[in-house]
Amino acid sequence: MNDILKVKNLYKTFNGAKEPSLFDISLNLKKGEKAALIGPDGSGKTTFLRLLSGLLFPDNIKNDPVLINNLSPYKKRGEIKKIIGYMPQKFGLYEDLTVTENLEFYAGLKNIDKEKRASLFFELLNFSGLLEFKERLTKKLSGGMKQKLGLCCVLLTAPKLLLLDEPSVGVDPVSRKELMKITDKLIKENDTSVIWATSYLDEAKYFDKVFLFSKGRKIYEGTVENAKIVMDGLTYKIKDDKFDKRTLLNEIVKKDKGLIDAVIEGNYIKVVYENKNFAEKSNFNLIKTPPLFEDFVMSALNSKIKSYEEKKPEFNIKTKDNISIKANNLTKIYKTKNKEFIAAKNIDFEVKKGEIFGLLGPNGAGKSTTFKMLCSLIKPSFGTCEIMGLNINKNPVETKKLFGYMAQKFSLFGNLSVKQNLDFFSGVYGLFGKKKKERIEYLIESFELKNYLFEKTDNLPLGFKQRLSLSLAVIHNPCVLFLDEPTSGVDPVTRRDFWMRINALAKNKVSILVTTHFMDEAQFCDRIALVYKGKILKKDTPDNLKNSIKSKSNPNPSMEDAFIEIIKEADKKYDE
Amino acid sequence: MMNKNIIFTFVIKEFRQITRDFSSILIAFVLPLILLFLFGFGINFDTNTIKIGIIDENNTILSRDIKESLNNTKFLDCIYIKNEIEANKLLSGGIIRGYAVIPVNFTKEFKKNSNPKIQIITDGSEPNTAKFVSSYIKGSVESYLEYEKIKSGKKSNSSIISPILRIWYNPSLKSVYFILPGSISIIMTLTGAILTALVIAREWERGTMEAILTTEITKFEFLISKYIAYFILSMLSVIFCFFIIIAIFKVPYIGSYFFLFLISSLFMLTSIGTGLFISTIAKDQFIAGQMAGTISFMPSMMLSGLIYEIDSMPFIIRMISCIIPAKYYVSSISSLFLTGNVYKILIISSIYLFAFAAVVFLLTYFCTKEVIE
Amino acid sequence: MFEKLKRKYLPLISLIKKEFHTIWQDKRSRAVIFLPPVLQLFVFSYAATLDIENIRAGVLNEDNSEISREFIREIQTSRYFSKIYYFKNNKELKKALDEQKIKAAIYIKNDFTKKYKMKDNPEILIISDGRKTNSSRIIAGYITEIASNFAPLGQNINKNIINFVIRNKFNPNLSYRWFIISSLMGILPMTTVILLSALSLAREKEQGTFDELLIVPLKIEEIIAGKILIPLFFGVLNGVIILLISIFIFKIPFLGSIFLYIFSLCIFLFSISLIGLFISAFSRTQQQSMLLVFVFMFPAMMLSGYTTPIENITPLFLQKMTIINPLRFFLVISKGIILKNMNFYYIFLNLLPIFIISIITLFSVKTVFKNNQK
Repeated sequence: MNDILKVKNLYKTFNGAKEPSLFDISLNLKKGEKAALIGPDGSGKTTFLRLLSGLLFPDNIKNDPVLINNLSPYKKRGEIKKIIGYMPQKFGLYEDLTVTENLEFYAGLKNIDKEKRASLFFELLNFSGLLEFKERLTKKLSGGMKQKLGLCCVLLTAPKLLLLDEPSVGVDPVSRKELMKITDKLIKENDTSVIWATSYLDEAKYFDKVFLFSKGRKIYEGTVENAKIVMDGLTYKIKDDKFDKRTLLNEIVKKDKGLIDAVIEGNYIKVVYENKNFAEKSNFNLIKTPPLFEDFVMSALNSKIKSYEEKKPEFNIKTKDNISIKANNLTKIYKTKNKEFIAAKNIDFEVKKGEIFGLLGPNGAGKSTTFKMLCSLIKPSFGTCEIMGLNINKNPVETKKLFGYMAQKFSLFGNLSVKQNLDFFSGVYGLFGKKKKERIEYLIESFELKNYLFEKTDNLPLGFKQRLSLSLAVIHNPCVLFLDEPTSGVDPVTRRDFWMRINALAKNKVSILVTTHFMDEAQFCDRIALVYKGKILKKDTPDNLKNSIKSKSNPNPSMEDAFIEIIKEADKKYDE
Repeated sequence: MMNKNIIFTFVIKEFRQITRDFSSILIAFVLPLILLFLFGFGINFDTNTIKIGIIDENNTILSRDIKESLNNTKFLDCIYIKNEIEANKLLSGGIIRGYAVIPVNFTKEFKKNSNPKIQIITDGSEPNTAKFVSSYIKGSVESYLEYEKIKSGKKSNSSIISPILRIWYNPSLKSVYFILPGSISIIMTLTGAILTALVIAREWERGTMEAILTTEITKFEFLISKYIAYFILSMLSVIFCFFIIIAIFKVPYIGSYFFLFLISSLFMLTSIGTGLFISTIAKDQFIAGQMAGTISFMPSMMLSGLIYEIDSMPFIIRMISCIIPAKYYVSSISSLFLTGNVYKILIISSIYLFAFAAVVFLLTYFCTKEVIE
Repeated sequence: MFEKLKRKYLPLISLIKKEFHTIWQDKRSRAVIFLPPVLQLFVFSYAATLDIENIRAGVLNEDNSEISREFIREIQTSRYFSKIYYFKNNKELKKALDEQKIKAAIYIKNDFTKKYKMKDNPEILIISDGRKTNSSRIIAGYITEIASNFAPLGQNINKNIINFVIRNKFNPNLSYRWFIISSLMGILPMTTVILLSALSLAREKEQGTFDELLIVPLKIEEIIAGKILIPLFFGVLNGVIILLISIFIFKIPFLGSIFLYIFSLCIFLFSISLIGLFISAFSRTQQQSMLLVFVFMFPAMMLSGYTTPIENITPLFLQKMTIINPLRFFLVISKGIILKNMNFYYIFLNLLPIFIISIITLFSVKTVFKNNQK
């Protein structure tokens, strides 16, 4: 009787849907156990959590498919509400209330004694580091802080079962780690069980147990270690000095068969094969490397890596030193009544043709401001930005023709169909007649949009939204590409596919500027600029950044370690 | 069933949100002020000076005197026009609203006592003004001749009934005395319905509804809290409006304040209920806005008897107006202001408004979902 | 040549197509564009009448002679009154009037017949309900008219020696419906246009797609044009539908030139769509936009000569303020073309201010747009 949660043969079919969204799910969770719920977008993670919290009703409600503490959430809703904590994807916070007001609100709804509140709030805020922001409006908090506050609101009553729906989407690694700490403390104190839906596979190692969902079915339940064992002997590294790494990656993907995954990792290419036979038949020199949980997921989701060929950019403009993006001393100061806020200060960098340049930094560090100044969405207070030698603020219309842009959250014209979106963008970029037709046909085929051509973009699965968004950004064969968190919320298989395309573009001398929160993606970049508190802290290659924090205690640091360490150092300097 | 603490917490939260959103303050206090101001001055049936033309083809002492007498009335502003072609041009250009023609043989016929003609041509495209023009010209010519007759000592040879007009409740017949209190109904549908038409939809949109639903609050408590918060806000706005009407526009008030409060509260509940109901069924903001306009605001403007007389409307529209809360509110409020406590009107209206509010509440209650999907 | 032109206007055309699809795609928004105006046209034109009919009146007849009863009968048979209630005393009468059972009452004193026969101009008292000022004034007018023409027992009245010949030009029967409809032809398309143009930009801001528009190679002028033309198109379409309904169902005469009318409608709606864009450039959300639309629409309607003639607006400064209201000028044009066949000079005179308002708004919109880019 140690199980807090028992799920048995759970089915869920939405109104009007032909097939169930969740199919025969059975699983158990022990008291005090912490489980990660992992799966591609659309695999039913959110539906599952909503079913557990009683926000949705299952098909087979009579058979009690879900029991929490031996109670059915559909029959004993009042009692269930007292023992679960649920944090929806958008955190459920009121943006126009302050931090304390949000806490007060939820404390009131949860019937917490007035006398107890003050000390409880203090404890939660202090622990989550929000104490100094307690009077701040929620909308002015960064994504990481919002997420912590959302968690605090859920933790007010010390629930027995905590359900968190992708709390870490769009949140930087530092905040993610802190969040994990808060949850761990709670588990120890109250014996709480947690189900945490996430698309960050590197987080899985912090959990006791992993549930892997795909297409509404549970395809794996077990520990991370067990999963890795399955992959033993299938993961390798390849290095070949004859090729540069992008060409090498392409060569491997073209020549080797049975590849599940192939990615650039610093100067190596990491490959994963379906089985040992394929590995033996490899055309390259394989160096064995220990498997990661990620490799297992890629294999379990039936990933097949593919290479792409992209067209050369339309405008082959020659520039000085082959530089395509140049930021000169970019500074943005916001003035309010009595304060000045420097969002970005003296940002300087250059991106060469064919280079992938990453902007990394915690939420609210000035990364977005910098990015938006570069593509003219924000006017800089000082400094200039040149694209292919053209000053974007002096020559906006001409410059805008040279680059493509992919917005955060893929903000597409939601109630237009895929075809209409393609038509619109090809039109504004001046394509018409035969040229337009050919280009659109090419994109539809290359991005596999055919089945969704007349579907409203709002109704597309996230992965297709992302694909469409990229196809629109490259519709005019630009020589520069701006990507603002292009993979946020997207599952690993789709992400890998996305990067293969980006790779192909970079090979054709397209310069790419990208922001991301995925540390493994940061490794795909040629160079990275770490932005913090409005300034660039470091500008270097991924390997150099990792090596810069090498120490005895951590001889083989990951990108995440480097990120956290560099920011810690900067904080120390500020404190001094 | 109800937990006071939960409701209290929720209402406090609503208030914090309201005070931080400049647009709700705008709707609750600034828009009513603009509307009162416009209703006070804009909708005005008390006619001011109308521009008319006169063509004097006769040109005698008598005709010139008539011309003079027309010019002397405070309602008319006369210009002299040479001929009809010019007059018609001015008329169609909207420069004058009508003109009178005194024909060539006017004085001759008049002296012969053989019913001389005066032609009045009005601009029918403004029917209301046209009526005023013809009756003003008629009236002032007649009273001029009457005056002349009395001066010359003639006595009429037949008896004429002479009506004396007594306007009860509003002896000086000021239309603002009626329009301003009545316009509160429009203001209340605006603050009540437009303000609330988006509030539940917004909770869904921003994901907070999901979080609330997993706490201990019940559906009933949720709705009651929304009602209370917006009720207090809107009633503040209403009190503010009444204050302006009574203190600034000096509209007399003779009814009881208790009934004023009671009937306004009940009407406000119908209005908030309608808004919340729209909010539970329409998830798109554009649609919600259009619905609020079409089912709550337009009827209260057109079919409440405030601007247009209900009795003159076709039967079907009269029937429709009977289910519209604003109709009951307008008649109660204008009675309270000008007549006093007319119990029959007040009681019928209170009962109807209460029933309407209750039905809308139940509808909203059953349409509010506790689960997603 | 053609290629060159096409290349030049291609971005704009694509934007316009996109705007069109955005609105047209959605079944509900299609319905919301066309249904309410038509519904409103019907309700308004039936409901809105300033004629007072079906009047319930009360009589307190102390005289109760043949003559006074004949006078009452005269009133009862006139087309305005539907029912006459008889009261015995003042108290009863007051109660009925208080409770709005009757709208007006006639009080005939007991010396009525005596005075009448002595040719001493007998008085009657018309008591009307001051809670509804306009109706009470009109009802009093009806009764007065009946009284002044009253001639019992075959008597000949010879009071009025002047014969007034009244001709109501442009609207011989003074049909209020003609007035309402010719005004609605401006007001209803205006509502559509301003909502569409004010919400479309605010929606893009809310959904984050506005950045997309700023990042593609479109000039500010092109974005403004794209945002205006589609609301304008739907507005004009609405205007034409309303015109057709008015002509074929309500049988309103159309005397002027249709082309001139549509041309003027375009200019008018152009100014309105710019105002809508101006509103949305200021607001961050659709809700704010919608509220601001209400804040604009009320004054615009009330100070346009629709609810009350311009010359009746009492504080003079408010009357003067109407010159910044494009609707005021369009209503003159609309009535002018439809009912009066107004000549071009006067139409031009009223089009000019609308045009000036548009130009000023256009420049303001452009400035706000430029400054919007923080």
